[in-house]
Amino acid sequence: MVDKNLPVFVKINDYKEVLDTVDVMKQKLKETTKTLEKIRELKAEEDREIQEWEKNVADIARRLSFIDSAFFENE
Amino acid sequence: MNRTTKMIKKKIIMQAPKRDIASIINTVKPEAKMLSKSYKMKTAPKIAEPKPSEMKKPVMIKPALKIASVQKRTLPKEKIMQSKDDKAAKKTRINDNIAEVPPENEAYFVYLKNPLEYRRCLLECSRKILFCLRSHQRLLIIRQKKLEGMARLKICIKELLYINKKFNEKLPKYDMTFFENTPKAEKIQAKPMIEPKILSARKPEPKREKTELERLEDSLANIENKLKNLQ
Repeated sequence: MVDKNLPVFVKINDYKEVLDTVDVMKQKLKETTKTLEKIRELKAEEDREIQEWEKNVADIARRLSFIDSAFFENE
Repeated sequence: MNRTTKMIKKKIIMQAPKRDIASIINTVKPEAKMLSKSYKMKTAPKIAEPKPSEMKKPVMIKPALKIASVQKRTLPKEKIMQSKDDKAAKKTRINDNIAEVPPENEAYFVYLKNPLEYRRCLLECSRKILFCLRSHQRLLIIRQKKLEGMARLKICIKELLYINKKFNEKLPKYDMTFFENTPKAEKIQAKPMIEPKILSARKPEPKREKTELERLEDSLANIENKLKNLQ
């Protein structure tokens, strides 16, 4: 059986590169998080717009029904 | 034949034996003159031109009632009933044109209690519709922005995957077969026997290029497998 918790050794030449790569990964992750946040905000804005749209349409329907009833109550 | 001509002929016949020709002519002359005059009047009647002193200047008659709009207007029913005898009631003067009021049987009027309210209501409706159109435009812009954001996110994730791959390359290699070959007693018992016939019966599927999603799923399965082996 091999012990899975054995220590890992990295070449000293590659070590700096690995550190750089980790830095780049961190940056990229930050960027990705920011983009995700922006998308979330946009989605919320979209939801708000749709909600407003819905409200406006409901208001129009209410007013039209009022006019309709007023015009046809004389019949 | 005219009456005067008949008379002239009669005179000539009656006087011919008694008098000479000159006397006949003298007697006929005034009647002939009259005849020629009447003939001229019949053929070419002259239009008497008025004298400059007699000429009248054109008089502008102003309309009795001035209405600003040019549209055809109808008087309300009550007014028409009131001035039924009067001719003015039948015709309304609009600027210089005269618009006839339609007969009573054809015109219908519906009384609305609050016309201002209805107008306001309709205007509000128009305003709301415009709001809807504006929000629609905003939605389109937002969606465009969202699509751009998603494209950026996709690029970011692709870059991350690439960097991760590079990162893995730098790390020390280990033999995966070693972990795969370590047998687990429980799993071996649980595995059902696979019949060789079924495997041979399968036809080789034609090779096709993997899609992006399939490739990602493969790599995901590979990583999951590795994780399972590590535990």
